Amino acid sequence: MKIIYILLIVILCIGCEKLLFEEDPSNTPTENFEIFWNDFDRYYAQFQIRDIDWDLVHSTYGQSITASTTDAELFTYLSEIVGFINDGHVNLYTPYGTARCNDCQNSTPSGLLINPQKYLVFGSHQTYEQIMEYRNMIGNNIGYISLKTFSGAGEGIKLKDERYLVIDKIINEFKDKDGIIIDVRSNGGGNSLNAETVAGRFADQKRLFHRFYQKNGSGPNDFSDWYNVYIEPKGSDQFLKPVVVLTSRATFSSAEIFVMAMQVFPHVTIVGDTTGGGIGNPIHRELPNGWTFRLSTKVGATADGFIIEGKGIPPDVTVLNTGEDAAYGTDRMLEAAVELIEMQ
Amino acid sequence: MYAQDSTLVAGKRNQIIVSSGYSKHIIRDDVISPYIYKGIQAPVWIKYNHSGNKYLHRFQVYYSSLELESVITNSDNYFEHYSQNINGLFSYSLTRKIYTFKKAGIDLYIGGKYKSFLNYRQHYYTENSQSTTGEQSNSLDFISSVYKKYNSSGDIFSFSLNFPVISYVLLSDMFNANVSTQINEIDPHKNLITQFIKNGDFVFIDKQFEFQSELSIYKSINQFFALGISHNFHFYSFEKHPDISRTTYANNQLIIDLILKF
Repeated sequence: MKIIYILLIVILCIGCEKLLFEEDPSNTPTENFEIFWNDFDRYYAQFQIRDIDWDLVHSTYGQSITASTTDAELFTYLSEIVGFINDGHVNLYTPYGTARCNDCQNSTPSGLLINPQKYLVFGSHQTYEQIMEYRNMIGNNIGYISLKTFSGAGEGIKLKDERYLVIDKIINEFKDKDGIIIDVRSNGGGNSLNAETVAGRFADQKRLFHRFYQKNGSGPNDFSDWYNVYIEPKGSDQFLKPVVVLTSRATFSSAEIFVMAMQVFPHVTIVGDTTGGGIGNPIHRELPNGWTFRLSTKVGATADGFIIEGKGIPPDVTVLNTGEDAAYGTDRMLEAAVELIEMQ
Repeated sequence: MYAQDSTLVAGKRNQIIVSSGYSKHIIRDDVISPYIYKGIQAPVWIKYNHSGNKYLHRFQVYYSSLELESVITNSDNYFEHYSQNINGLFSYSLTRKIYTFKKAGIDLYIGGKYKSFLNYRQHYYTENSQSTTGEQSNSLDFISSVYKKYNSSGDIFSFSLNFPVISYVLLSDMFNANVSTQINEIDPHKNLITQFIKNGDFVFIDKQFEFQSELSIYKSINQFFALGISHNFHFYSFEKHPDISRTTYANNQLIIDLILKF
């Protein structure tokens, strides 16, 4: 009899799972839309700075999405919303494709290294696992580093990717150069810790370089205080001679963290186009139909408090490559960077 | 006196217990997904009990590693939607017999328990898209236990319940999207473990509702060995920021215990 009592208690405890957890949401078009809208409502940090009336989005699309809406139609509606938010850190991933912001669709000649054979010595240096490459330049004593991405994380509890420590080897090889050009024109970001790993090799002293605040509650005005982020010298040697960082509209996210860090050093000049404008710290979310989306939970700014979300970081010297430059094999931005270093 | 102590399995003061069986993990982490993620796995427990005349010391270590899935896991070739989940727990409890219900033959113990657990989750949306989240809590719990000998051989039935009075929670925000006031003090370029320990948050019952229960029945096989069956239940609901980052977790276990007594 006692055993029966014990078994009953066990069964009751197993059954209490249902008491302790709410049921999963159902997979209907309207439920998918409501979760999508509500998650943005609770987590998205940039409605105010992007001047978006989120309630209006609900009243507009909520009427169009019904129980008979197909998946393809739902994708069209949600893609319109993603495009309208116009944030590079807002995406919708579906079997129908990936929805992106309206301004994220176009590439320009300013985002590319044009005619590298004209400017760079090939064969002397290397590409490191597709994260960066470095080369001597033709006709001058300037080093060229292309940082292609900042993606990658360490294993286990290590958050940063140790592959980026190859920058120490590059700094050592370039120590006798008159200057270095760092090209992040096509760098779409990744892990900001990797950006700081590289930027620290150019730091002259500890400096404030970035500020941000973040959603910390579900209300529209639930934000944390401002946080200050500092960059300081890293590695055994730092390169403190003239440095130019080349930027474009495609320079985005963690690459903008890198630009902000480099911008506060007195020997560094930012040349090119305004960056893409998005720090974001996106989180991913799931919908009942299995689709995934991401959204920004953070608002990022430069050291002096200039909010870069949707605006980007203006360069110190604006130089753009045109379609004509690309046609004639001229990288006007790279040439301007060389001139700037040679003038110093 | 010695043989009458209800915490002793057939009169032995020391017990080493190795356990395993069925363990179901259920979690809903607001920051990751609106979905419940579940998984079943065989846990490993190692326990040591020492019974004094009035005091009972219990050490417990637990580990499990498994994959959690939801109703949308593998809902499409493009998506994965699963979590790799690691759970670990260490606890030490010291309880004292405070009362005996003589008619029922039940002893009541109360005391304190130090409990440290890690619930670490790597969540995969797609192959190239993942998030890390988790909780690590160190708590001082209030624990209450009852023991009863249910036959003349000294076999026992026991039930215990504990809940934290205060917890020191590490990793409370570092791996989540929404930061506490302390993220700025964590420098990812320096030793993370040291910093996590320094930068934890003291959490009270208003932010972390948690309890553990353990129901066991032990029967001796011979002078040195006994067998038991236990039901363990661990539940917590931990709110990091109002309405946007609550983690609710339950672990339901039905395990077989092999007891060495000496």
